[in-house]
Amino acid sequence: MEEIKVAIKINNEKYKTAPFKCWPLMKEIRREHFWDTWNAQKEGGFVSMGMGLGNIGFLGGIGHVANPSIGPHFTRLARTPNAEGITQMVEVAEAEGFGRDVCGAIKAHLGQVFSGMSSTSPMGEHIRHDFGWDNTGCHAITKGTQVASEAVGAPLLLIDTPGGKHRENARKYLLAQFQDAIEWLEKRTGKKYDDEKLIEGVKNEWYTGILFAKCLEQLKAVPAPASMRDMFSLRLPLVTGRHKKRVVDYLQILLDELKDRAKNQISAYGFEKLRLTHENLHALYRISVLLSPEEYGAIFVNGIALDFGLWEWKEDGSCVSARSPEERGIQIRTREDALKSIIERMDLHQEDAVERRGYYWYRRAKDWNIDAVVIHYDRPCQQEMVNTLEARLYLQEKGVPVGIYVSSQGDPRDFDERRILGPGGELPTFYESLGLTKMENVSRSHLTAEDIAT
Amino acid sequence: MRGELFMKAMQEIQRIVSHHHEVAKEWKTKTGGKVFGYLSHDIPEELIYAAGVLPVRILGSHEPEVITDPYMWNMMHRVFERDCLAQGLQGRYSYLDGIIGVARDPHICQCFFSWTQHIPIPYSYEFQTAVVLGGRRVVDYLRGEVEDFKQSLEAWTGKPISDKSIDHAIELYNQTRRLVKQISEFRKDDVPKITGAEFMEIALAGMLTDKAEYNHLLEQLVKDIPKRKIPDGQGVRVMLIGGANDHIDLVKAIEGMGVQVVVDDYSTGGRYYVTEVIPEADRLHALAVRMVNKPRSPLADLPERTRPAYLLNLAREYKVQGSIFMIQRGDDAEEFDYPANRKPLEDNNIPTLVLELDFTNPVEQFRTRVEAFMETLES
Repeated sequence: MEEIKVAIKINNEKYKTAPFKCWPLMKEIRREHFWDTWNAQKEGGFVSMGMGLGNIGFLGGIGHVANPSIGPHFTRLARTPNAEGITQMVEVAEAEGFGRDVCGAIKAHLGQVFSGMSSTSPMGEHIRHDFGWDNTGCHAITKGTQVASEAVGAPLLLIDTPGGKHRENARKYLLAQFQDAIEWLEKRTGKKYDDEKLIEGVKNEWYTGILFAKCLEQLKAVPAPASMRDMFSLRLPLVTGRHKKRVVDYLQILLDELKDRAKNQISAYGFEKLRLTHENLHALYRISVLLSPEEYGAIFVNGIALDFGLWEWKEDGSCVSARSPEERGIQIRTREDALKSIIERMDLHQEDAVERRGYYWYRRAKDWNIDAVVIHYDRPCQQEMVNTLEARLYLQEKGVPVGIYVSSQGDPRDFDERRILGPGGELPTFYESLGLTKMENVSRSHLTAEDIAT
Repeated sequence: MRGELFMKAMQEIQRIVSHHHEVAKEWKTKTGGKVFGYLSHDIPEELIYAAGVLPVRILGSHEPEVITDPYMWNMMHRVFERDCLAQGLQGRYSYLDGIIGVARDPHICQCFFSWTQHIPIPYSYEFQTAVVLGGRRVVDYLRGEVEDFKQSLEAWTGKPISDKSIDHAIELYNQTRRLVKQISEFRKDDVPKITGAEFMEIALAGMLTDKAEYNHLLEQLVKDIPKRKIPDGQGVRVMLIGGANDHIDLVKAIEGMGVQVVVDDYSTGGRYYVTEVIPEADRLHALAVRMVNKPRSPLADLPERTRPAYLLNLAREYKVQGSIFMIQRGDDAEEFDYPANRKPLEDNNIPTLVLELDFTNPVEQFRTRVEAFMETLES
């Protein structure tokens, strides 16, 4: 653990708390997403194979496309005791020859593919994936999608996505690929691509990204009206359906509720002795690690797992929720307008490029009134670990206390409960080093036992 | 005298490989030119040469180190790039005037980023390559990236890169490729006329010195190799497959286990030399075409696979009896492709073995595994 260079002031105030009113709506949308995989084709739609879920609004032009992402059964498997179900899937992938260094989340996905689970509904119905789809932001996701598409016999459509802030050449490349992709989709599906639906989906992707950024801005309030753990679930509709009007409406409801909670000082769970960020994606099968500060009266407020908002960087180095296309003077009336605006939106995400990771995390800590940062060292996630160590050094140089723990977002065998959360474990000792003490008879947040489990 | 040219040329090649820092410094002193180090072959190297700069491949030293630990995670980052960064942090590349990285591969990105953060260097450039090499628009895109790179080099050197100098670089590099290919052909013989370790030295030397001088050495080798007498019965014919690998001693050790390494598919081996630039009026387009047409890395073998067929073809051409995948610790791209790549080989009765490479390698443990593998081949 790092030596703390700055004085930490513990906030001993007790706040009121309350469950989220929009939580049931989030669950409803989530359930719809799950069943979508099994119902889409019956309703004349398609089922894609892929994990990145990049630019899903673009797919809207070809009609309704279900996107089961990391595998339709991931959450159910994560809820098995000790996430044994996930471990089994990882081992299925390893039995096919995928080695120990391959991303655990992708092996969990591939295990579902190889075992036939990805194609089988809880009712025993079988589906056949229509095509594979992804961009190439993460090499492991891209290669995983290639393997999965081959395994189910689905043709693969990839958008090669250059890194960094896109120069003109990269923009032209992206535009040409999207235009080709439309031709490809029409040929593969036999359906005419609908520009009106493209425009609608693309606009909605802008709106949902902006609305979610506005939601996250509400978390700057003390006390935060939601914890990172709350927001990780509340963001789910955005992940899988950010191109849908229904999700725009949902996020507006969420934003209104967060504003109301912030105004009335309704906190995430009643205490806020210290505010922390959690950087790098946590173990997806052990989400309750995000609740670990609560035993010490502290909370995770924000972190990289919530990076689904659209931001704009200002000259003073801070970032604010992005302006809408209309506010930016972008008219989206034609296919080309829509495709160009996708690239414009991708550029906003590239602003948070890994080269700036240290600064980005530092700004998040500063702007969200954060006292300390926890970083997850994800053993097999090679993409996420780019510049993670450099970011840690940067935060330390800035005097921000940093704690680390090691596991894996997708492989439960890498989550050593005792080492991470047990007495003397990586996280408890970090919390204690910040001056926190374990609270007796702590009432955990408003989440249900089922929510806490996963 | 029979084989004398070969011996002399090989001695110089071995000197280039084992003393590559001194060789680069000598070149600087002799020519007054600049030297750039690069971290991946997915760049238009000819352009650097045409700019009057010597491009050299950055290599590790295979010594245990901890100097990179604050920047690259020893539990995850690929050993080759950690070893490269370690050399930079130890000041062994202090003579470099520039460093060229390649975007898209997280390990190379990390090495490049940490290099530019912690090691003073006058010029740095991260080349934006493509990964969906089977795409329709990829050549046009890469041409644009090559042009951006050219402009950056011109701005830094303060001199335009002329068509004439690009033509010269292309011809020089193509000549290198043709000569290495001729040498490689001798490995197809029933009794290969050079060993796998010797070929590895030859291949590495070409990345560490001026191609104009190197080509003279290759010409001597090509002339003299046919005269070489190699005793028969050297062992089972094997292909080595992997990412970057500069561990000559390990290949020597494997060849001491009753194996003949007759062909390889490394980014730092035969793969570097396979594809020529086909000259055309638009030189930058020609360079981009080569980047797409050369054998693909695992990361860029998309959307359809070409590597399984490529490897099977290599195996057939070189009458390979077994294949060893030399996968570096942390190299998930190679691991992702391993199941798809081994299948056609095994379906064609070419068994495979995986060895995991680290900074230093457990040669005795490898010996046991390779010998067991040999027994399965011989049976």
